[in-house]
Amino acid sequence: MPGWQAVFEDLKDDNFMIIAAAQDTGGEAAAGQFYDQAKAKFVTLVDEDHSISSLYNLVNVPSAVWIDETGKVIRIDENAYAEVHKGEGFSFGRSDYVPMVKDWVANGNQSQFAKGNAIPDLIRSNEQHLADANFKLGVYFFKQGDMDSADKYWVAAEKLNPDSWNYHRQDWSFTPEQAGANWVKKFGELEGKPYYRPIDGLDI
Amino acid sequence: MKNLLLLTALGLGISGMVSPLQASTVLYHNATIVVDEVLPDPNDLWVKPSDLTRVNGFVLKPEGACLDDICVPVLQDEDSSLYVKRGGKSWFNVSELARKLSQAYVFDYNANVWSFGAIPVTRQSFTRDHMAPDFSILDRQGKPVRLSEYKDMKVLLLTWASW
Repeated sequence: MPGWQAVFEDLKDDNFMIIAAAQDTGGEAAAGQFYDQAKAKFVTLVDEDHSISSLYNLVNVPSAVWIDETGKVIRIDENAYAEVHKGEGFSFGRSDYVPMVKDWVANGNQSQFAKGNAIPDLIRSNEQHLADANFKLGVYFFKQGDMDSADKYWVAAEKLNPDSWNYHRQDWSFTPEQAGANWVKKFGELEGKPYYRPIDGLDI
Repeated sequence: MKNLLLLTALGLGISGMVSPLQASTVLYHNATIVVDEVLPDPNDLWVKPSDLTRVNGFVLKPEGACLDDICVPVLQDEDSSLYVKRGGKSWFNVSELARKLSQAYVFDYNANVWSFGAIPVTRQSFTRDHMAPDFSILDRQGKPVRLSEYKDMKVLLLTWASW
């Protein structure tokens, strides 16, 4: 989040806005501190139902959608890290995404990252829509404090849309002692399929 | 015993004439809508026409149930799968409308909560023309934020999570 605040600071005078939406069923208590720590000056939302991911077919976080001045989607569902995060013996994130964003903000539709970019099929299947309805029902029960019912509908959502890492990872976050093992198991089941949709225009 | 008889009589009277009141909760987009009065039905969600608009934006007009340029024909001078009159009141079948529109839904009978997915036909400008669908989400101060407020700007819509 501090990385995106730095990007916003650079680009805010160029008719550019970041709208960040935390896909966090835990609400302000879970997500708010990260906005505060980053002193984020862009639009900061907490999307408890993951409604933005449903609306835009996003399956993992962080992800981004580029929307131009006419409201048209230019790029979508890409792994949008602002920087590389280094821990002890591991690192995650990427440094090649922000230059793409900056090139687009400077050059608009003439940017090499806007021109000729392939938008994936955006049609959401009946199962994916039904997964969304189940996930939201789970969120409702979570807020009521009824974790058994929440879990029932979250498991249904995960079965209906197994490609949504958001649904799995959100569910696992409430049993942190098993979350790591759950992630490793599902990651292993990818068998070479990407964890994030590959970024068009970059070599990796 | 006298009270019990009275209650029984009252209960029969209600079910025979006017249906008992019952509240339901509807989840649609990111809103939670409480509907104070529904027509009890183990399989379907029947609401008053005014509540139809509250739960999914559709308005009951003479030509049918309409949202923007979508209109689903509804007979209103006789009972149908979408519309009935009971006890002098009109009721609209929200789940039947969902089925006609291929809109996914799931309901929890015990808690009386209905959760609806997106209406596929309303997503055509996104799926076909790649126009960004609008949304309204409360910001951290409780003020609704819409994507459409940022028209004429480039927007990076970014999802992330604490987990």
